[in-house]
Amino acid sequence: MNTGRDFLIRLPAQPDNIAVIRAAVGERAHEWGANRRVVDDLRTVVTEACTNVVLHAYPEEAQQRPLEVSLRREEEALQLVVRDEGKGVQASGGERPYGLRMGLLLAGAISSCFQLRSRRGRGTELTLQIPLDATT
Amino acid sequence: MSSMRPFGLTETEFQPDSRLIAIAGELDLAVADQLTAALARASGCSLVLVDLGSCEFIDSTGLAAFVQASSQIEGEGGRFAVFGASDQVLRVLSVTGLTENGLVFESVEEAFAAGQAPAA
Repeated sequence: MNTGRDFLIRLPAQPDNIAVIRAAVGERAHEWGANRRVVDDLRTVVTEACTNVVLHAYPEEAQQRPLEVSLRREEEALQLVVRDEGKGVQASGGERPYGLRMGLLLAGAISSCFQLRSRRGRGTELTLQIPLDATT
Repeated sequence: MSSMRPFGLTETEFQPDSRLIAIAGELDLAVADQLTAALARASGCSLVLVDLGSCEFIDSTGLAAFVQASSQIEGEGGRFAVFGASDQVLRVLSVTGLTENGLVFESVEEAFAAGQAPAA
């Protein structure tokens, strides 16, 4: 599903694939005319979202670890959706390590919309928007 | 868009008991363990500086490594600072508030001078 306004990439949720997705999403946003600040912000939030999937979505022994990232050019923003088919968001009894808290903070601070949908055992979908009018 | 520079890291003892770690390319989960290991090797140094002039991207895993290193090194009586950040790297350091606590400097001269000053 790669058209003039939509882009989709599916890869296994592995650390080395985060950079591949980041580059692909950034390149597409650049082709769509997004400015440097917008492309940088997009690369940041997609990295944080994908890192979260790699670290938390699937049990260690999982053979299949699908990670799907879609990007859509809306009129005033880029909409990014990151999906997995993992165990869903789990309630955490203890305090999250610093890096995990920082990742969520970053994604939330940079994006204009942050929406998380998760069902236990049936995956998680994170939707973020990056405004196209961000100044460099 | 420019092609992605491979991640690289160099460690230099620029004066006795001091370490300069220079990062090139993109720093994320896949390579963050290399930074963590380099920072661990610098443990015990009185001054540790990280050059971000060639770092093209950083995420929360990289930031976490800096925060942990700062806490450990300064807890041992040393000083830790990063310098030379620009574009995405500087924006991430700023958004997360790390530019507000004496960790981030524009140049190596400023970082070195701060590292020589008595701890506050």
